[in-house]
Amino acid sequence: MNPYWGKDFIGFFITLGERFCSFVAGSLPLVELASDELQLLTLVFASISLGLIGTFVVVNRMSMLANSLSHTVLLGIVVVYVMLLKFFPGAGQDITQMGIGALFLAALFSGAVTVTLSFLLKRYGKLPEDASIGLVFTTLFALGIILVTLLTKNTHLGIEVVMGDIEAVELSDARLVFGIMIACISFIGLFYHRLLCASFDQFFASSIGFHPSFMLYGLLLLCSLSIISSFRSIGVILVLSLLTAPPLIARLFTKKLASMLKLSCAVGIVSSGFSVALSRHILSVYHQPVSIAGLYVTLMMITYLTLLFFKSFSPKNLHKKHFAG
Amino acid sequence: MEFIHYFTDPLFRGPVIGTMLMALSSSLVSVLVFFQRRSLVGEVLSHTSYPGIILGIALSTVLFSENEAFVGLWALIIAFISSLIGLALIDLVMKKGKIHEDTALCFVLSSFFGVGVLLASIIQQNHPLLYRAAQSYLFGQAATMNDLHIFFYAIFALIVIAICIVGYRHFQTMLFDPNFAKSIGFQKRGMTWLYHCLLALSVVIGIRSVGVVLMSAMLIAPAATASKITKKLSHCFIVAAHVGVLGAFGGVLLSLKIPSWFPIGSTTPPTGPFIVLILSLLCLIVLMASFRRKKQALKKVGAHIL
Repeated sequence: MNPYWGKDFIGFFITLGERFCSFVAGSLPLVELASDELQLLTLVFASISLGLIGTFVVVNRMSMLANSLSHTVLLGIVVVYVMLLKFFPGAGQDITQMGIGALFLAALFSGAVTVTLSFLLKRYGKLPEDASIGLVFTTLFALGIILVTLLTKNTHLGIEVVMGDIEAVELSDARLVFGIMIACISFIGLFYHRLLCASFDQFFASSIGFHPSFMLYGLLLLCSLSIISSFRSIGVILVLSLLTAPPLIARLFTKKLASMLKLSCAVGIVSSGFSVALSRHILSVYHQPVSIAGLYVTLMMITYLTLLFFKSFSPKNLHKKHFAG
Repeated sequence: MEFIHYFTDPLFRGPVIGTMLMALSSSLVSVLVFFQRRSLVGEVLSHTSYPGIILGIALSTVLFSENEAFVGLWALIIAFISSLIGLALIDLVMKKGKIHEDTALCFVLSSFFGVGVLLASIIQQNHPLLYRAAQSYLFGQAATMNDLHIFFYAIFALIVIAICIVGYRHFQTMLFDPNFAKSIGFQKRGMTWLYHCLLALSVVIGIRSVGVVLMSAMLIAPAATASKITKKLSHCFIVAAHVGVLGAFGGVLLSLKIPSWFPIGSTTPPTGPFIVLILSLLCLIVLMASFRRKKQALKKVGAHIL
């Protein structure tokens, strides 16, 4: 029985607080988490890791590369799935539930193939950069969709990959996303200064003796890992919003990278709490189930646009504009 | 003999001719996009049309009639409007928020798709049939197209061709010498909006058969292929149109044939991935050929010098 059944927006948070207290006191085991709590945990973990990576992605202007990665992870998953079936026939793997090792391989494969092919097309095919990126990821995505459809004999799976299905989240998914979050936090914590140099001053970075491109490749690998870990719950296209929107909102308030990282994590956590509570509210009051991931992204867009509106018409900015000319 | 069969048989006529008309218009527009170096805008536009499709399908069924063709038409019209809103939003976010184009594109793309997912989840509960119709726009479902679609798409394609022919000189100057275009008094703003409308129109025509997610390939691959074959803009238009139509025919044929080779249950596979795959293969072949030709030319020059 779900304890959140019939709760409205405020009631959701009250119940969440009560259950959290009993969890801390030790009277609530981990396996008895309600589906709402699992969704909340998955969203919070995913938005922390994506917000951290996304800040660097936005700063380095690699968002469209992240977009192509988010499309090609599907091919990586399919290829790893086929290899698993070939080499471990008895495993009986489900394509949507693979272990962390397999997902790591898939992320590595798809990231490497995408970046290499885009580079080759640009270098040897003499195509403009945007056309080469676009050509590579659409082709690989089409290949992935065809393979998924033919292998699993299920035309619906492609749609699920794109839209995400957070209602079907289990404890194992939350664990996986948690692991990726730890990896992201430790990578950025360990290499923060190197990443800072590599993002803003590549020449300085190479002059003090490390390769800035290694840092960026590490970032891309982590990006594709966090996309792959949350594609089942959020979907490969909505993940991009979690990647770009929190850093953009954070950038309205600060110009410093460290505070931007913290703020974008905070924005991600707050809006994931809001969206889960709001979807429960809509379900209880209006009897209308809505997609949590869709709600999350819509909320984030509205927030950003509103803040942007107020910021561009704030007295400070108008004053600046008036005296600039 | 068998090929004529695909154009006359009432069952195959709709998907095959409709998709080819769609490919014709989108490959003409792709040349403009390619030379403006804005290939990724096509990707964004196709995603921003998704909430429009769902809204259009829902509105037309609730307000007007259940007639399938009109539902489709309404979906296309509202999708057109929503992709234009997306374009305007990109400009606004870039200008007001002072962010790079790359980030603005990614943000608008995913946010609009998120709105679409939210709307889809709302209609999923109350109108499951509508939901399924909307989902078929995601990867394209050409198999259910009929003669009425051919009619609509022919009109759309004619509009695109007419704009390309009438505005050829304008587009040429705008693409290759914007300063000259400014000096002889072209309205840059008007031209840009005409070009944006053309782009949105071609995207909206294509989403029925190629799908929202893969439509951007139709706006890249034909032009990339044509640019390797010829260097003249007018020839580029012609070659791209041929390549696009050929790829669309091959893709639809493949997606219609696939169920007889690999039985995949009762549902037909989506059309879009097959069209994209064929087009990319064509592009790859042409790229390889151009690469080899260049190498041979280099060798010849080298031998001459030696």
